[in-house]
Amino acid sequence: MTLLALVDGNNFYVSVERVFNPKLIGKPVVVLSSNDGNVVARSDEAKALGVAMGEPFHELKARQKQHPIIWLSSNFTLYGDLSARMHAISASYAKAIEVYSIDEAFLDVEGGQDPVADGRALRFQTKQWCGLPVSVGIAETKTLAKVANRIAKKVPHHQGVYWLQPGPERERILETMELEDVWGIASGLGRRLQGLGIKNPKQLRDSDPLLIQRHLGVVGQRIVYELRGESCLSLDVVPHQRKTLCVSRTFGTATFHQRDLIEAVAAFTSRAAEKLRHEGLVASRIQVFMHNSRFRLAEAPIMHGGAAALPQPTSCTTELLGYATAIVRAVFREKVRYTSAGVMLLELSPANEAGQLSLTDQRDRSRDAGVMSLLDQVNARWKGALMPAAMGFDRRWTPRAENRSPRWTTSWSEIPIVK
Amino acid sequence: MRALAVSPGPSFPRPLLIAVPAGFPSPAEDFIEGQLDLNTYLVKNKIATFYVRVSGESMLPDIHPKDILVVDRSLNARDLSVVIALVDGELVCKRLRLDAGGAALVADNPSFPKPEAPTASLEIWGVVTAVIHRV
Repeated sequence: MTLLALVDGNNFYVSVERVFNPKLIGKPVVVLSSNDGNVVARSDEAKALGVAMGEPFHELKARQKQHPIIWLSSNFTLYGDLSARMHAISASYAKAIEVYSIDEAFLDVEGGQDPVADGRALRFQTKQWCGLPVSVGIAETKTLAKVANRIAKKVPHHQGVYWLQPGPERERILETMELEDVWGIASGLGRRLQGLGIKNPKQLRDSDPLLIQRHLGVVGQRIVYELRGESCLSLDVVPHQRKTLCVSRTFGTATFHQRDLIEAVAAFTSRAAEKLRHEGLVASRIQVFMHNSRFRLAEAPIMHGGAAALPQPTSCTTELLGYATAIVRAVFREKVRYTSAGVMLLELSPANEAGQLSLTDQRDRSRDAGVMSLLDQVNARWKGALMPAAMGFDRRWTPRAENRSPRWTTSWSEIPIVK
Repeated sequence: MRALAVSPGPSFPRPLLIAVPAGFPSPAEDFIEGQLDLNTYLVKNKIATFYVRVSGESMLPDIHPKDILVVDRSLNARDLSVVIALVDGELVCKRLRLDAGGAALVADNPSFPKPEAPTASLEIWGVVTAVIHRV
């Protein structure tokens, strides 16, 4: 029988900030999404004040009149470093690990003598080594491990670790949970289940899988089996080969100027190409899109974009830049207040499987490869030292991050100061 | 093995590196052990190791302002350990004294005030394992 543990960082971004800035401990703290848009992480104190996940920054500011809430811009360099450390500790407790997100991992813990004791040890070690509180939920399937994790977080006497074993307690938990609290059930799906007379996860589990499949498709049916303890979602130990790669940003400042858009799109293209090479892939198609503000009701929503098929699958920055900037020039319109843009690379394949050479190909591909490898080596050593001139120097598009903490763990000039 | 750089000519658009599998092998070949790496010398547990910079003079003469400290959070602090501790929401570097009366944080610098009475509990952030001091 399989046994899985879900390790989940509690209020992960806020907890990371607190490791290096202990003054935040015990206070209501939130972390905002990139460009200081919405709340993406809340301390328990902020949750208690009613701050919602996804709450826009301006609503948060309005709250400040009643309660001071500390807000921080997101610092993904820092979160990424601490996430890698946290997952490395988890991996040492597992036969296999699937890193599901920056703050969640599924562990294969089958065959352990005492899964709860191991969970407690993992939790203690992660707290001591990295300063991060985690919760551990244990069960036979991913969906049940998610339920177990929720209980581990919510019920204090479990002390952050809970094994959802078959039995009366499991029945009671599944009966008293909301449908929408089950992994994979969005509110729409929940409403349709209510329409079928299914009111809680226990009733869903005991429903006829064929009936559920008829109404909700295989996704719904899979949830039924997973709730029964029959694993349908196996551990994804090998990362999927990605099919698309997208780099997009909301600008720090809106713009009416083509030059700003070209610079922004050039920067995103450069980053996308770098990621593509890092993963050993090439793209056959490039797509560029530009939006006006989606939150200003006075303006009709606009999306300008275009795509180009590439003559040869490529990951060469300069080649991709030529297409990206040409698309911007072609689709740009005057008098539009652009607030975001993005570059999407599609039809990806491994670089070493690239198809046969085209006789009409105009580019010196081996020269491209040499230049790109040099570019990546230099930038690996001195981050951002070499960049295409098309990116410009103004960086007016740079997302807002007005209150970002230092890169405590990745920059010698920003490490914590001790007295 | 030797490497030869062939200078660019009309038939070679770029310099090429050619490995020549001839000549005498280096007598040192069997004795090469890799270069010394300060990371492996100073860092025993990468996952739990963090770096901090010193700002005050409380730990003179061993620890100077601007020194970088290697901090290992996986170690348990003992009596006389140099630790990073949490005091009033700030990270401070002090020497830990443990005895039956409790725990206290002490400055090495004799001109600093003596600590208050030992407390029952202290929040230790990590144990200092090395000092990096530029001369």
